[in-house]
Amino acid sequence: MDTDNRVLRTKFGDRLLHWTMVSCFFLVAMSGLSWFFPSLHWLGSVLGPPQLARILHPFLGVAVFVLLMCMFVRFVHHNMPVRTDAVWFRHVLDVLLNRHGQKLQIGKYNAGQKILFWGIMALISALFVTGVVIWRAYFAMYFPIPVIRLALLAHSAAALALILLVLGHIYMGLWVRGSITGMITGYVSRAWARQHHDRWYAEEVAPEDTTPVKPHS
Amino acid sequence: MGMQSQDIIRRSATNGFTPAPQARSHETEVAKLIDVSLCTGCKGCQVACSEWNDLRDEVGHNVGIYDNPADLTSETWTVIRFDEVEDESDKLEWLLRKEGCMHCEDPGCLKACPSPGAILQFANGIVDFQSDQCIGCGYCVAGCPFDIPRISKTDNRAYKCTLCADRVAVGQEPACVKTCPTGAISFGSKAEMKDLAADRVDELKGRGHNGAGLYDPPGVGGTHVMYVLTHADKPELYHRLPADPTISPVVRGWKECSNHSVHLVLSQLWPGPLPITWGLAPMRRTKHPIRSRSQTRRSRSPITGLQTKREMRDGY
Amino acid sequence: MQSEGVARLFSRKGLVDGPFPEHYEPTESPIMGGALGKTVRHNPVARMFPDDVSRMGKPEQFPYVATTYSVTELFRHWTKHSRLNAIMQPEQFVEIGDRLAGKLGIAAGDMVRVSSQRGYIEAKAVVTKRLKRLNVLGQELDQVGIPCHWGFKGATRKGFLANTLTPAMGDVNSQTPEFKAFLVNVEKV
Repeated sequence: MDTDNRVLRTKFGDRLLHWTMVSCFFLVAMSGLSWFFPSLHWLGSVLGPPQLARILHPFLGVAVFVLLMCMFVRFVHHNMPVRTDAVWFRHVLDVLLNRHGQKLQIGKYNAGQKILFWGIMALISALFVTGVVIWRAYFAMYFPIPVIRLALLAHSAAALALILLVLGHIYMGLWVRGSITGMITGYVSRAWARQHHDRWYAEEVAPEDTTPVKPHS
Repeated sequence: MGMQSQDIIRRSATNGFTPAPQARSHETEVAKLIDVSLCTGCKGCQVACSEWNDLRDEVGHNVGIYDNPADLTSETWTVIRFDEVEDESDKLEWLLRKEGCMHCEDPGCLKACPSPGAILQFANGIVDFQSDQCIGCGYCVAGCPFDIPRISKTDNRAYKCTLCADRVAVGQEPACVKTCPTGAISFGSKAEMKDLAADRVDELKGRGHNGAGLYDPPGVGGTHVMYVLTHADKPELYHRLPADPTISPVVRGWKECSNHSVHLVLSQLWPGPLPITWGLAPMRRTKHPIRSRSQTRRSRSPITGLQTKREMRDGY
Repeated sequence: MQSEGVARLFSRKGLVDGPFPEHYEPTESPIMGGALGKTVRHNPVARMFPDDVSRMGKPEQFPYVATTYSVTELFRHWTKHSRLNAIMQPEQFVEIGDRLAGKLGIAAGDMVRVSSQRGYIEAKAVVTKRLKRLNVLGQELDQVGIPCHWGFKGATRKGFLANTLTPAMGDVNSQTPEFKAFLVNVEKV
């Protein structure tokens, strides 16, 4: 493996955080979907019998929220909006069509990823708050029924939005070659870094380098 | 359940592509009629309910009112509500109402329930919880326009009045009806109970209760537990009995619109009759074509107004 | 109903205080004068032992009229041993009119102490509009209702004996105890 040509993009702790959250999220999302769509009832079996699924779903939801808060602390400084995000937005069509001609001044995360970051933050927070309101065993009795009804509606809507967003996230991860490997091993190629995150490469990766950079093939 | 499994006309979390059993359609809709003007608040119905259904609630506390237990619980499926109401001329009335499941024709609990078959509606109109299927999410509590279902603290399952579905299935009246010492509760076919109510309302009006009337709210498609109220124009006086109960638009939106819209979106993404889009199809309301016919008026049997199931069947 | 098959307006020998029935005030009464314009306040032939008389209260200390009764959920002190009856009416209570409760600062569900010259009980307050403030001979009068089913061990919650409060006086003819009208004081605990 050409270690010279690879740079560390995501540290082990962050990757562990990400994949733990992914596991919890899938269990929560599948059990949640099983209650929203009658014919997807079988999805709830990931958490065992239906009663057990109902018990575990909120606890796993809390786990997702707690992990998310850790991620927030770890990643927020990379995801603050900056002036150069405008460049990415102007060239969003080129990005989607895989035309990587010009330098788009992209930091560690591009503007689309930042939207995803803040979208996930907002939606999971909303799911957490509404989830507490409808958590029958411990909290629902403290809220009036009309509030619970609104919370149920909001919880379902936020969950669907989040699932769609995450599907998009997975799609992009698969579509941009090298991304999934980056999240599993933590390393991406220099070429990948220069092409997709040029400003991050220029500002944070290249200055630490002792080896000369090979030209991008 | 036995043969009753064939009497189901609606089943929670079941969409229109796999509807509930339909064959035994020739069944009369039943109703319980509670005449509040005849109720003395003796709580005999509460005791009979607990006796028949083997329920023993906690020996609770007096919280400053006659109502005991102070609210419906998973072990108390009916409670007499005592309300002292004074009109403009300081005339005091002690309004009593036997509170419990109304057995709506369009049940909000069933609409909200996410667990397949945990809530059933039988052809005779009874809405029943199948507790072994219940997952304890409490959606039925949010769906109900009357705040009736209660989740047990011990087993996390929802409970409410069954309208003594087991007794009715073998031609008996519910336990509360059987025990009521003043005849305030009657049971029979819904048509018959409406007749009985009409007579009683006339009588009450003749005695100066100008607001007397039948409580059979159309917002939930009518109910299979009905009241004769002396103040039918102001049902809220009877412990906040809603004047026009409906399934909350929020619950409808949550259960119907979201399903519809997602179904629409996905059918655009994946054109064609893919199984996944079938699965997302909204729950279809399955109804018996025979249903409207069962509303025809028939003579009522004396005293209890009870008919055996055979009589109900042979009524046509 | 008598042996001849009809009732009688008067009884020559059947009544201790006959021949005509008469109204007298209860032994303990907030009405100090004679009732209905008469000078005699109590039944003059009532059997009153000196020890019992000494345990009678005065309206100055015990200004409210109490009455004891049964509720439909319970029968005497028998059915409180039955769990279902106990569930229907689990805990001792006294009924207090809303105007008296307002005057004494008592809310529904508060613990109150009801005392007479003979003792006291403590129970939950049921504040009701059904017990109206009465106007008797120009005097405002409040009543307190005391259901009589508690005291002794049973399936209900522990309570006090209502007859701690009642006077040991009997009707002159039947000796039925005078538990329907006597004097008490009410305080919030």
